Amino acid sequence: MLNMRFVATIYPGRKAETKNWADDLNVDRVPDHEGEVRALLSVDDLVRLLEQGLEVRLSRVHAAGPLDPALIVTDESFQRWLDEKVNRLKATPPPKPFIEP
Amino acid sequence: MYRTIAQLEAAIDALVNSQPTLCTRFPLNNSVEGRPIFALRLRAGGGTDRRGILIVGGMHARELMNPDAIIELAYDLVQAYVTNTGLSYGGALWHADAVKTMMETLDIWMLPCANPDGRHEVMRNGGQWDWRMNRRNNPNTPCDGVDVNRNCDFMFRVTGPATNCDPCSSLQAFAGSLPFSEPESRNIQLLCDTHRIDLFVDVHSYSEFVLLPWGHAPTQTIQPLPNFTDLPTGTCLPLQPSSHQEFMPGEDQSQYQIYANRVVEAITAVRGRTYVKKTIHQLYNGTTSGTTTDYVYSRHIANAALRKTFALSFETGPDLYPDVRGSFQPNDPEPIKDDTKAGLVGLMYEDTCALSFLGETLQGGTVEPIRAARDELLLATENGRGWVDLVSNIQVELLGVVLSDKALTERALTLVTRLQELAANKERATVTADDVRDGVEFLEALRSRSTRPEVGDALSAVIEHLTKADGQTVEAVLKDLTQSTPPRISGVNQNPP
Repeated sequence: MLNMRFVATIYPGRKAETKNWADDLNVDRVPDHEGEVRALLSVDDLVRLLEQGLEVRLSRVHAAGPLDPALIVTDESFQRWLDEKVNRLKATPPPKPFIEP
Repeated sequence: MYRTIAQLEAAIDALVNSQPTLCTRFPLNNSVEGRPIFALRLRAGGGTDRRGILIVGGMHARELMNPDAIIELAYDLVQAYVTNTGLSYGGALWHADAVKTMMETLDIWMLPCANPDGRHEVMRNGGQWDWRMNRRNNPNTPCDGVDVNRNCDFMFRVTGPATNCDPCSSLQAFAGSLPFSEPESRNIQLLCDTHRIDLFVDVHSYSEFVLLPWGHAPTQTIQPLPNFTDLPTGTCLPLQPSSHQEFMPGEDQSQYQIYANRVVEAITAVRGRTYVKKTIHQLYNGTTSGTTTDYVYSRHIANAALRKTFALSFETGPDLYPDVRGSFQPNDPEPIKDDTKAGLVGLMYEDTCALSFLGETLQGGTVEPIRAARDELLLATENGRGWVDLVSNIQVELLGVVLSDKALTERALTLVTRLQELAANKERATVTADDVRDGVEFLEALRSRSTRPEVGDALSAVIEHLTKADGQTVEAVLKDLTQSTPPRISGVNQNPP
């Protein structure tokens, strides 16, 4: 649990709802298309927010750690992509421009 | 699938080596951990002092899609140019002539991965997928990282929901100890200081927004002063006074709407995604300070000797709530990268300016009086903005027609010179019968060579107004234009049915 990131939506809860209530939450804010106060929280963040009287709704948990290696382009795959692109470019000289350099 | 830092670098090298006359690599400041950072410039043809667009990606490490998209866009542009084939992403299409004109009249600057250390941290074995900042070892704390998009010299260390002064905060938005303390943010300053940049775009993820200044405060167009130069900075406190709203001139607001609309239209054309325009301040409903976008746009206000650069940012990719990880790093980023590339080409298209290329790049003069007349008299009204939009939608194509014919180019240069004279004295100088005749003949020549009938229709509307200009001042001609609604022409300023 300590190495988790909770996807959370935060509401003012018992804390009086002022215009700027979300300005000093000190959490890792992430964009939200609908304008909600969304964040990635550690367990410590979660405890702190609850102790401050905020309402926190958790909707998902992500494991901490590196990117899934399956999402990283392998060197072989990259080289194939590059070779295809470069071979096509090398074979074609640039056209005559409107204005010569 | 996402490329590693080494792969991104290799891709830049290979592009430069395969087309060295079109692509140039510029070394910038190395990262905090010593990794090399490069900018790439694409330009074909000649002419100095060309309009420049600077595209930046990868400021925030976990937003992995954008460096890949920018590199791929560089390859796509160069390939489309050398093979004379045009560009398409889904339903968004740019003809070969438009690509040629953009490549030969703009300097296209790309900084695909501004924060390579952060990207490495996200990808390395033992790293963190949600790392956002650079890898600064902050002295006297166990906490690493500075948010390079909070580290610019603009309302520095003014705090808010996504900016703070505590390196150990969970916010991941530590502004740093001094403005531009980080080489990664200094590289933005360096590029703007040393090259002509007219348009700047910082590509982030996610939530499908196009973000415009300002970030530190709400934007207003009424009251010029006080402005940001009068406000306290470096305080590690919220914005003071909290009621401050930052001024943006109405003509800039109008120009920003044109840029943002172009992005939105281009992206929608790909596969129907609808990006929403907002200010940076609206993103987190509070102060976001020290951003590259605000810094770049603010430079000419803080120092009147500097060129104005319009600056905006994107947030690419949908909000897949509650899957935050998938929103930042989708398993299949290809459709989103196509959206991004289309949005960026849309901006390049809009940044291309026929008058600027003819009057500034080729003649070495200035078109500032013409631009000022446009800003003052046209951008101030809805009809005027409509006419500007109509012309900006056909000018790239027509500039290609002009530049492909030496005689037409000479005639265009003569007309631009005369237009400069008239615009510099727009209240008194009158348009003569000869001016009208020369202008109409020139536009008729363009109409006869245009391959698209809708472009001809747009030119006819302009010619109709020009024929009424004899004996009037430029001011009167432009004011008259604002009294009429520009025609809506499918394929020009109206999407095809």
